[in-house]
Amino acid sequence: MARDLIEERVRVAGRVEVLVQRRGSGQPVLYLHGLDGVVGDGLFLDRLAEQFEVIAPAHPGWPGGGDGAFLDDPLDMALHYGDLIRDLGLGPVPVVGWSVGGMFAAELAAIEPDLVSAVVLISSYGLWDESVPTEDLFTLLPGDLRNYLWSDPNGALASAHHAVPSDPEMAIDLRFAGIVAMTGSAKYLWGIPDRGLSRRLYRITSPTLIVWGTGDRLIPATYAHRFQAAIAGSQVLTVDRAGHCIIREHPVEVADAIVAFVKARIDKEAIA
Amino acid sequence: MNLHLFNLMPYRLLPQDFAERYRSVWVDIPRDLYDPAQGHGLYHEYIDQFVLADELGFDGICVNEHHQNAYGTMPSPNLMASILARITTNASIVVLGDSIALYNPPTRVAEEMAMLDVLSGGRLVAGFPVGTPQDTCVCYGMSPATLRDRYNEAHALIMRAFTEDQPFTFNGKYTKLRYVNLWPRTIQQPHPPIWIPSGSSVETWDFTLENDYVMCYLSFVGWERAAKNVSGYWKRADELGKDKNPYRLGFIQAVFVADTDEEAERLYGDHVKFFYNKCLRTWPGFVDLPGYRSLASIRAGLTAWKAPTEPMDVAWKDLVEDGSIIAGSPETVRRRLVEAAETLRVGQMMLLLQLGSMPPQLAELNMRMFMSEVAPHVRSMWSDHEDHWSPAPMANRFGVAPGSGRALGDERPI
Repeated sequence: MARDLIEERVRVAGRVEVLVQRRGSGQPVLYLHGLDGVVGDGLFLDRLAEQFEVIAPAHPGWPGGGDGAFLDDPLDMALHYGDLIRDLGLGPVPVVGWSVGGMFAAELAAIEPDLVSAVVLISSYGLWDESVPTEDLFTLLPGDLRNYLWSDPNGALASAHHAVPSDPEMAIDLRFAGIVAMTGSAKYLWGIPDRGLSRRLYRITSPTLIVWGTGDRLIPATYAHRFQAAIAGSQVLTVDRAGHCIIREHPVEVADAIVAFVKARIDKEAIA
Repeated sequence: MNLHLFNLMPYRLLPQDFAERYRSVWVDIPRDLYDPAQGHGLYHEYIDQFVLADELGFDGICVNEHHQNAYGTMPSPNLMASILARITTNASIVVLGDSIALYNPPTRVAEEMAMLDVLSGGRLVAGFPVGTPQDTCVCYGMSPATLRDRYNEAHALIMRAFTEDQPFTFNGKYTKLRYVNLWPRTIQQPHPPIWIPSGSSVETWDFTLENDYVMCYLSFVGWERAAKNVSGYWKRADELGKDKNPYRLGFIQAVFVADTDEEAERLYGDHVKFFYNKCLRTWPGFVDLPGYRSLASIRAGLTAWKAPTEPMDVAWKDLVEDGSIIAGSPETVRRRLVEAAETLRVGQMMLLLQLGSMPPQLAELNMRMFMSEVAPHVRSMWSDHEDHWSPAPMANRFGVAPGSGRALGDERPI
């Protein structure tokens, strides 16, 4: 069931104004979106919002996120999200990040451990394995990208997501938003998407859940275990018949796993 | 009008079925297609053509930078320019150029340009391209998001290095240097002419006009297709209060001369088609990179994504008719070249006279026919305008004695 959705513009640390989506109520959870922005994540976020207040800001440099020129690298982005958590009075807060957002969530948890109460990394960028390189998504043809995003690239879900609006103006706006999002992503993932996160993962002390689709063609599922090996006490959940777009292909299953994980942490802390 | 010879130094021995078998002539072209023993001959063949160009009286000889590319085998144009500075005498050495965002520190480019200027006796044109997405972002790993920022910073540093008389500090975002002190100094003062190769970026038009640099429109689409963009450049010059001096603009144009139009097709046809149908085959994913073009430029000219083309099969007739090439009898070439130069208002005409698989005998025939049958009829164009953008060499320069490889003895200045 669709939750009431509130959109507001939030000025962060006096530096940038970003669009923030809020859904649900109760325990806040911060969600950091993936490559193409928050726009396609509704079903997943609605499901999470049945149990939490889900706060989903746009990254600076992506559609809705304002000009990201003041950020150079994922560490800058992590500082920005530390600022946002403080400005919104959320911390410590569970942080869920998908794809490039997972990279930012991991950086945030590593450098601002006091602001993060739990981490969920879904199909996350940030590590590099020479023997299993991530796909070079920026040199894929736009028409080919969907083959790397979905476990079933020709299924109904993928087709609905990639459908071109019949209105030409809307089609151009949508395509332009896609270019903006890819431009934003390229800043942090260009070439080899390793910006030193592996040197900082040891600093993550909050409980960590790592979620991956076994059919992820952008970042192979073996990366789940690389993250797990680097983050003490972390757990891995793999999902079959799921590609990189795991939260769009299996919104209920992934959201429910996150709810259970986060609630268990909160209950444990309450008991302690 | 200045007439410059451009040579891309193609690996002209690609297999005939290249376009069917491989996706790209650039970036990930199989290494085993390059035979270094053949490459040895090709480098010398192309250097010979530049030397001939100097002897025939071309105003400039142009080299450029490409990486991991079979139609341009000059990863370092400065290496070739260095040879040419030594063994040619009069032609401008036009380096078009060094992709300055790629070099760390960029003062290395200033140093090498200064070496070339001194070595050539002040014949250098210093070109500073942003660089193609293939070369800069894919082959050299620059993030497209920061490429232009790096370029702007490198340009500022290089120009200060050329012009400041005292050591200075440079605290940039990408380069931090406590002591910048360019040795050697350039012969041309305050610095060699700066030419900026570009396609059709509005930002580059403004950059070149505001700095009074030459804007070189480098593409292989030919003059008719380029006319719309170039008229935008001149409109922008008006808006910025700059004169419409044709010498502000460079343009690259492939030209093929023979006794008759039919003879031109017979002589050059297959070699030219080899270039357009094989050498230009580039994987589209290496071209349209997110962040390479400014979002404003994209928004302004956004069109639907074009599917990758199949291996092309362009006909000679089409290439001639759409202006991609200017080819035919001397009379035909003269007429079309004047038409192109007038339409574009271009004073720096950069001629591609070797293209694709063209062997040296044909390239040299083309160069000789161009200079004897065409050049005398077009050189006087724009003589009512002053050329502020060509090198000013020193008078008493070293030359090389033909055949000896040694500097001329008695003529040596003391």
